[in-house]
Amino acid sequence: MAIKSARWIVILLAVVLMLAAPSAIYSCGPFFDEAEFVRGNAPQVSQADFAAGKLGIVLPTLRRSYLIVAYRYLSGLKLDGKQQHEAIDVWNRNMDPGRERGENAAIEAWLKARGEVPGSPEIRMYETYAPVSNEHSYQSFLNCPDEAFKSAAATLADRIHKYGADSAVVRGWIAAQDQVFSNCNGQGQVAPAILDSKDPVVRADRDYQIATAHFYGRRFDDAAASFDAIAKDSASPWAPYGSYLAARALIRKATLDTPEEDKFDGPTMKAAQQRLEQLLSDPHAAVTHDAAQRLLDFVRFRAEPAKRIAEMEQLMLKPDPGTAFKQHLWDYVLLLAHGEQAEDLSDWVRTIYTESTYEQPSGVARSDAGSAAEHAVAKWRETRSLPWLIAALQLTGAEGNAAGDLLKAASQVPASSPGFLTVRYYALRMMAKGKQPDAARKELDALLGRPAADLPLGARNLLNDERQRLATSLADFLAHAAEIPTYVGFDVGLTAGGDEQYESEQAKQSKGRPFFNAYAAQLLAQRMPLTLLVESARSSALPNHLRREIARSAWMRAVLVGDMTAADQLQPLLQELDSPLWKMMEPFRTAKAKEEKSFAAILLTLQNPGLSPFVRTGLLRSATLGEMDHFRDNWWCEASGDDVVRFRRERGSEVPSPTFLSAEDQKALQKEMAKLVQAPVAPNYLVPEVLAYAKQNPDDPRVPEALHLAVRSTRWGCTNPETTHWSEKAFRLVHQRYPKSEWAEKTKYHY
Amino acid sequence: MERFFRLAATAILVFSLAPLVSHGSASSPERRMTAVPRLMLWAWERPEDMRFLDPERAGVAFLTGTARLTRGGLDFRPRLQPLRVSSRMKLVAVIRIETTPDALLDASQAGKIAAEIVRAGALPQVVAVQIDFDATQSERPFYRELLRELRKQLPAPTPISITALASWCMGDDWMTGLPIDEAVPMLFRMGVGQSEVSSWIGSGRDFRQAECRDSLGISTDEPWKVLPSGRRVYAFSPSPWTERSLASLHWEMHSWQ
Repeated sequence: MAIKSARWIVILLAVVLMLAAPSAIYSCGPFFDEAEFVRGNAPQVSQADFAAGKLGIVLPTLRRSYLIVAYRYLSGLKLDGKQQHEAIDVWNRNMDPGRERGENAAIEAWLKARGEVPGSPEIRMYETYAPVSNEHSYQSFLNCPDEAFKSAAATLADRIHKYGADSAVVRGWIAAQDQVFSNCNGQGQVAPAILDSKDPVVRADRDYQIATAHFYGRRFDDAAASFDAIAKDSASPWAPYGSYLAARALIRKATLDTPEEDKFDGPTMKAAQQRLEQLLSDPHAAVTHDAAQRLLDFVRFRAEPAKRIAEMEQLMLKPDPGTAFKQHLWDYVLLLAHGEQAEDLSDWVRTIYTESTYEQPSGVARSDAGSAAEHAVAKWRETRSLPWLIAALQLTGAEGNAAGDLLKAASQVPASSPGFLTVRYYALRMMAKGKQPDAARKELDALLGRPAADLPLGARNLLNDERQRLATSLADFLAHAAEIPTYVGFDVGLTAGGDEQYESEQAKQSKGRPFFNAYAAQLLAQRMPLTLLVESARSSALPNHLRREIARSAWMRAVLVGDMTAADQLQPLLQELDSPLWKMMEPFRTAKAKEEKSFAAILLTLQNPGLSPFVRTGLLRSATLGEMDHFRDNWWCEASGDDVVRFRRERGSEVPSPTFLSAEDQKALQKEMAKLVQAPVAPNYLVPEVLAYAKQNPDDPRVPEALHLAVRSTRWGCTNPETTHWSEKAFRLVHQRYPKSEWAEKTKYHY
Repeated sequence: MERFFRLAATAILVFSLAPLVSHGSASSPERRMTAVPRLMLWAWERPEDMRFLDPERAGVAFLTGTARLTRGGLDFRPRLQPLRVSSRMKLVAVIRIETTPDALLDASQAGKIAAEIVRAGALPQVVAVQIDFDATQSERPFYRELLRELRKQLPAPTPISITALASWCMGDDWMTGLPIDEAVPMLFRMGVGQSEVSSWIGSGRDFRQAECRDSLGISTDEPWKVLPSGRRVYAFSPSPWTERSLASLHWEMHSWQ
């Protein structure tokens, strides 16, 4: 008895251990690929093309920096080559390339130069950021920028040339410079000692280092006073920079030494502004004029935002926006984002712009759409400009009073205009929703007939989206149902290169292939009866991989709604499109009795977890039809098909019934959907069917396998609290009635 | 024979219970994490004024800095945008890690990042640290090393939280044994994987990885109809937080119950 007990304890513990031990089934996480048909916040063309004036369709969801450049081209202005590159830098937020790419080139160059002076203590790296304040240390600022290290390296090179690397002068200079840079992290409070040297350069260097130490150490009054003194020392090589640097000290004081984190000290900033304006009028300080102008722009951005945006808007709209286009564009965008507004350009951007989201690349619904539309129309009537025509077309509904006038104006925009495609897109939307659907359809066909080189893919998809909604027949819909995504890939915390550039097989195979967008998938999933699905699967307008997807889903739906006639009618199609599946369907085809046929269908479904009554948006299921997807993309969840479109683009938008459905089609669809929505999640449908058949046909040799697969479906299919009950029933039956079968052996658990 | 079975039973018992014993201090994750509020709002690299937030009801997980690992070493950029919170607000210091293709990912870099995270953890009002690193497969050994080093350097009561891709929580067991107190499944911006995760969650199933079962990471622009209630929620907002966006979030969370 004791032996038996101990044995059972061992077995029990072994089972516990087995169950408790984490299964290492997955040595790597999957990367979910997605298909994107339209990008909301970036152009459909390359950045280079957009910068050169090939705008594609200007969406209101483009980032403001794109809209501003678009406005220029729409207004007949251009950008030269350098300005185009600068625009691209702004779009890529590439304002400080070295710093953004994490390069410490300037610091490393300084350390190298410093390291070549014998006896210099080793320094590996500097902390160049300092907290804005000690009381609120969550925010930092760049205290010692690259220019500080470049200047130091250049000065050292010159002093080495003048005095020699091993001289006391150079060693003393380095020691003092180390003290200067020890203030960079905001913790240091060190300034070199005053040096009384007969050599005016040595003395001037030391005075300069003391001043910069005060500067980086946040002793701004001392810094300003020191720099002012330097400015007056005609013997100092640093004199031409003194006044400029004193102004910088005041600006730092104004922005950092304030009781409120995000405010600045007005009087101090004003004082800095006055100094800079004086400096710019002093020809003796010409060497600092460029830097002083940039600093003055910085000051006025904060102190005079309304004036500044007005000035920059004028700059933006000059035929030549100048050599500082990049900074001005950046500053202008920031001021817009802060709510500043000047004249026409800022008014236009503010009127048209709306944010896009992951689910709604065409933009979030605006609460002020009505008033924005009125304003856009008023501005268009006033100016008759192309930008305002676009804004008015985009915002005005088809029933709006101005629709007729807008469409007439739109028709007069020549094909050579950079805004032609945009104008036609919005005009066609208006026509389609209004009184000219036929004309819209015809023109969309003409546009979509253009060669690929003439119509960017994203723009093509936008136009095709409109064309889909104008389908007059099933054939017409199918001709436009599929789109080639603009992007296929996975979205997993990407950094560049290495494993992150891993491209799945699915992504590789999917590139350049068409798939159903959300509208088309939803129509096929929820708005078409079986008869039309069968017809769709036959259509040569669709590529075979999508015909196969439809044929499979139609067969599954036919089984679910009990229409075995339709399921049989699909056989020739399945033979053509999916020979392996068709071969597996032999028992289904040859079954005579209804019960036999149903069971054959159920067993086939259990063997092919990829079967679902709904077609997919975007990429097809990543696992093959017969493979179990271990992230539960198996069979179906909600029989209404909502899960198919729930998390795709345009989530939540209801797709209306297509106009080409006949009354008979609609009736058939209603009947089918009424049955479909009654169907539970897949395991809760499949398992009871198996159990019922097993009860009537206990000697059917297929039953043990079916019971095993039924239990398996409760593990990997969509489940709900009832699923456990079915799982257990099937588990018990296979073990009680078929204990010696291989299937009982394989069915170790229920779920 | 009897003796054999007794010995075997004892061995199996010890072996099966060993993980619980060795992670006895891991039971203290629950204790460490009690310092962190049940609702945390992510404050990313943009100006955020969250003084409207009631410190009794929520906390702020703010981006403290971004560590960029390159071939040359570590480039750390601290937060450059203001963050305003009340003096009683509990904070989680978040460090984001990014890598370049040629990053060395050696022990030296791990040590330096750990030091930066420790420093972030010492900021005023910070009760925990969180690492946001979408480590690829090849980066996982480095990440493990970093977490081990961090656990050594951090004060014992300071929790370590990490963000986790949903796939890590659904069948990839690489996080098992990491010295972390929490892995926050990021349930937004998942692309195609969203429907699979949602059907998993919607069917009443839970994440397979235990580390992922105490918290959720969501975004206000991707609301969920159903999510497990009673967990710590980290929420991201694509635009600066306001009382209104917070109210919408509460409404969404209420619907999960």
